[in-house]
Amino acid sequence: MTPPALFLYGHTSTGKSLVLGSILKSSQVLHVIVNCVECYSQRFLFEHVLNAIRADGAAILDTSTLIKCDNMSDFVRLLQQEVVAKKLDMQTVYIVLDKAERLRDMEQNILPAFLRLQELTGLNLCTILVSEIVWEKYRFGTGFLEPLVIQFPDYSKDELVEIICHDRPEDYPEGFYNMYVNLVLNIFYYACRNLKELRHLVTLNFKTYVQPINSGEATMGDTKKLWKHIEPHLKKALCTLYLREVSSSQWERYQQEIETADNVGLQGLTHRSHVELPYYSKYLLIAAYLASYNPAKSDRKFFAKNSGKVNKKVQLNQAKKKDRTSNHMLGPKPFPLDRLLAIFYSIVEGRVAPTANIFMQITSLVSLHFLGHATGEDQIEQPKYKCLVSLDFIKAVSRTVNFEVTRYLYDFA
Amino acid sequence: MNTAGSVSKGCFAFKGKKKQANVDEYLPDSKNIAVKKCHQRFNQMWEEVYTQVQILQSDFNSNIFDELLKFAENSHTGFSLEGRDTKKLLVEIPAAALVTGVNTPDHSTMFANLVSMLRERVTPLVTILKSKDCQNVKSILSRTLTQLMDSHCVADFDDEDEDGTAVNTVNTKSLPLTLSSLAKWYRNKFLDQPSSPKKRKSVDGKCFEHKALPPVVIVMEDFENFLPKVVQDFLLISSNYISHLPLVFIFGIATSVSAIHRLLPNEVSSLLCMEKFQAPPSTEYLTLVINQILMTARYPFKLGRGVFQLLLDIFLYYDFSVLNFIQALRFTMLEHYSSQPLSYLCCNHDDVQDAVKQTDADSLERLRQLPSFMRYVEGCSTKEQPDLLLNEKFTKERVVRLIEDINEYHTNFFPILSCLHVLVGKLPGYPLGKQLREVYSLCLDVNLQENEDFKHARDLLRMLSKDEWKNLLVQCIEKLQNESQLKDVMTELEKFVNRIDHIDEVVEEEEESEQPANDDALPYRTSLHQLRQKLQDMSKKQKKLSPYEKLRDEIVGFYDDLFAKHLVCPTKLPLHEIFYYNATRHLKQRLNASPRSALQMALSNPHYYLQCQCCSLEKSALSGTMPDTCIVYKLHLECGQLINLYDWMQVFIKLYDWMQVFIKLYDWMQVFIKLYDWMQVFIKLYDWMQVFINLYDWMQVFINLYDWMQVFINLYDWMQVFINLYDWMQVFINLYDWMQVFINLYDWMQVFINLYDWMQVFINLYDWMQAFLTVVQPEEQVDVKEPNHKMQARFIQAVSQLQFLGFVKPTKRKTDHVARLTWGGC
Repeated sequence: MTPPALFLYGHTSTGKSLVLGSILKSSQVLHVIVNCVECYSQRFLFEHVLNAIRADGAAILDTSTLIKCDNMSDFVRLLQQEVVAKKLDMQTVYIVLDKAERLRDMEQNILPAFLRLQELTGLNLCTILVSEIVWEKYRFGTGFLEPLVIQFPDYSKDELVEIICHDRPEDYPEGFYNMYVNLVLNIFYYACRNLKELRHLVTLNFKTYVQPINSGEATMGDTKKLWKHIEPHLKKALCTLYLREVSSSQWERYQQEIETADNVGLQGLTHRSHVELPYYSKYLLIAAYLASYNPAKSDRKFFAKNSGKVNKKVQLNQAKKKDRTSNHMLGPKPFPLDRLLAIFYSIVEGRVAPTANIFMQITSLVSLHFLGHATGEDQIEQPKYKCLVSLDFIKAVSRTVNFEVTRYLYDFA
Repeated sequence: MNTAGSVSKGCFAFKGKKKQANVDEYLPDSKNIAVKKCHQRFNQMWEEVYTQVQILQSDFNSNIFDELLKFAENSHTGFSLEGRDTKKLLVEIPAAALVTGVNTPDHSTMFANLVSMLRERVTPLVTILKSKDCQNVKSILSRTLTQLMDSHCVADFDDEDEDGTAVNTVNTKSLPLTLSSLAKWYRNKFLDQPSSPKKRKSVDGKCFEHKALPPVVIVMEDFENFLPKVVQDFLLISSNYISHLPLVFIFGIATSVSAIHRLLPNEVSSLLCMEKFQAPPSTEYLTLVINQILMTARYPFKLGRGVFQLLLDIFLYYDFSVLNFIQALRFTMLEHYSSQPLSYLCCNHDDVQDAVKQTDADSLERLRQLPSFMRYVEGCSTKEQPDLLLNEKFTKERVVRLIEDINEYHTNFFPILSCLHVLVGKLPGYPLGKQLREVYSLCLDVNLQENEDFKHARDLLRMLSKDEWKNLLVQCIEKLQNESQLKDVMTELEKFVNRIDHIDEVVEEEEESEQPANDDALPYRTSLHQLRQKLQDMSKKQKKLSPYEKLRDEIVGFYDDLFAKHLVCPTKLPLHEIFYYNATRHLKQRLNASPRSALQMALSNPHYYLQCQCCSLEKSALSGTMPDTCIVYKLHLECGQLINLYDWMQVFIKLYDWMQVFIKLYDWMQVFIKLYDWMQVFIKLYDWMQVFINLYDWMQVFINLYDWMQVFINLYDWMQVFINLYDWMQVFINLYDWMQVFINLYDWMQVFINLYDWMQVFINLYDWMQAFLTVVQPEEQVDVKEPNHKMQARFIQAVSQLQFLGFVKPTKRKTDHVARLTWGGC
């Protein structure tokens, strides 16, 4: 009798699914693989398993024969029926639940029931859970059957090199490619150990690495020369690690453009978040930022024409201010619409009528996620917003309208 | 008998018939033929403009769309369903990040275009997702599946008719909503049926392969607004099926690529293989639209300066939306054609003759009254003037000529304008603005020669170097290349270029002639005064020296004449009213409405909207005939931050009661006014009486003269007459007493009028009423302690309306109070 439940865990890309899949395939046993992300309701989970067992892998489109099932007891019953009907009771049926952590968010009974499926159905069944988090995090509620826990450890650096070397293009010798992979790993290993990401980087940069060879400037033995050539590129790639904003072909194009235009790599980064906005939207955004990061009490100080005398109490407060945490550490605070408009009218140049277009701009800023609704969206009476952009962004915006935003910020003034 | 009354009440909504707007109902006077004609003309002109706009739109995005289509086509070139390519282990979902810019209103048309192009050229399997439809995984999947399968099923039925084979139609409704069912469906569709008519059509092998397995394109229009969890799950699911389904994602991003990382963690974004596509900014599109539609002689309709500036401002300051700009342009056109009864003359060149011929006498009269035409007539010779005003045929001929003149003016105007832009566009400080549209807007306003900035620019032009000038001239020639009617200008410019090229040769000759002038440079011995004068003279002379400078002045002069001739301000032209729309204020109210000020206006001056007789008071005045909300609003303006509801209501009700009293008083006043008229009569009588009193004095004299009179026996008769007069005088004295009474009444009336003035100001209503009541009707006390329910209800309704409009809100700081949300008086 097989154990009723297995639990495989390990980091992303440590080979869990691959190993499991190939074992199940090669040993030619009946198995069903379910990705729990896909099953947004339990019905899909059940039906998927049942239909897969019935169809035995073949595609069915005849909707009339599809099994309908939407609760656990039906599932157990139908599963027994199906397995018996298929005369499969002699061999073990494996049900693989990938991304099993999602099961915890479903109904309470699902996880315990799947763990005890063998017991419940009385069949030769084995449930295999695949997950990225440890088993201890699954323990809530009751009725668990402790599964057999198997850990997939992280790859070591050497193992990583060995795996990545499988991607080697045919026309380069193994030693050469090995050397290249080692170079890349030396740079990235401390920032990233994700096999997928590393493979992406290795393939992405290989063309630049071999470019001197192709152009005849160097031979495969000139490791130093090649290293000199690739090093700046890799450093640049380190800045955009994980971003995946460009595909490999576009990356090459960018590289060429940068080479021809002699641009600094940094410019690309600032360019990434640059957004062109209409004139009043800019001011609205600045006003929203000020409203979010300045305490409401200080508005008088910044925006009133005669801010009044500074009495001793205030001075004392200002002395105290230095001890307080800066508002930028605390994050944006919600502010009512009135305050936003009051600040807007005091900072914008010229007289602006409160037209419908201005209000529309506020809504469109919300839809662009520059502002966020702080209260529920259905509150019409006094809506509250939060400003969601960063200080750098707002500085860039205010520079385009010649507005010195730091002069009006409580933390900097 | 309500024995069996049901507890529940039903409310059924019926979808009414969709009302099609009928043009006739909206036209100011649909019976009038001229109005109809104008409307037809509008339809015709708009049709032309709109087709041009659509052409521009498709051209404008064609580059980026081509790239996107290529991307979608090529991202799955090696795709096959047969088995996993073992070599290609690194499976990522190809995704295009299309950065569209923040002009959100334009996006839906842009994506609709993109989708239709994808359907046409790349794949029938395209689905477009909007965030508002996709609040959870289920809905996002169902959207995708239904769009993909349904659209294709429809296509299938057509195929079925063609070749007669039964295609297994899928009942998409009963399928489980998962991508696995989509994958199976896809497999069935494209693998199990190797001979569909579509594939046979393609000729070469590669294309064949590709057509056999079209990619599945999923477009997400407003990517930022999707819920992060939903997109993450959707992408995770999709990545599981990437080997079964050739999926391609297109994310529409309004802001910047970093939005993707805000939505997607690394775990998900590493599944994607992204490419970034930057759509050209909408300002470029706007420039294109303005250049191709407004700044061309092709379309006779033109915007005046104010309107042009307004539309531009709305674009640049508010939304960056070209779609809105075009809609505004359409509205402007509609306004022009419906407000200007002569606008049917604003048509294509070929139709001018007909249009003028059809003009009836009324319209012609209206045309003669156009200010610009009247000005033109005044400028004509005295011989022509009567003909222009009276002779129909003559006038018509002249109108045709004038309209043709305007058309010709337009054809010359725009090339010359672009020349001007070439000249001033790169001057330091940009005296006339950087963009062509800024220069245009300037020319619309006044004649160039009167403009200070232009003079400044001209001075700057006089300082340019030889190379710069040559460059400018060459650019101008390029601009004029296609304009056959300006050939002579071009040849003139070419001559200038030639002369600049050969300026060095000229220099030598000139220098020779200048030599003798330099000879008598400085005399050896002179007085200081003489020396200074000499030096001054020389500096003056030296300014004129260089031949290049002479040529430069000549060129500037040439351009000056050119601009003076062609860039005339359109408002100076006769009949410009027909072509130029310039009602800026009117348009502003409609296009850039400000709800708050409209509200304020309605509340403080309801007469403005209601157009009733009763409410036409000055702004701060208050009258009982106004709507309740207005009264309550005005009363609340005098209160502080917190308003006691009870007091407020007292004032409101008192105002009403008082209003009743006042209306009575008003009747009284009418009586007084009549009395006053009477009094006027009496005062006249009094004057008469004065005369009689004088007569009496005279009579005394006559009595003294009685002795004398004895001599005249006839005088006795006279005396009789005077005695009668004396009786009369008695009567008048009585009348005088009466008059005293009336004068008292007059004083009363003065008091009353004063009271009325007080009421206008309404500083203290209650005190005033008390004062009034004690003065006039001390016995009739108004019972304000217990107001009737109707008044209470009216008051509360008005207050809640104010609350709804956002002027007050309930507060918890004090019971029975509301808080004011606005500042300041009215």
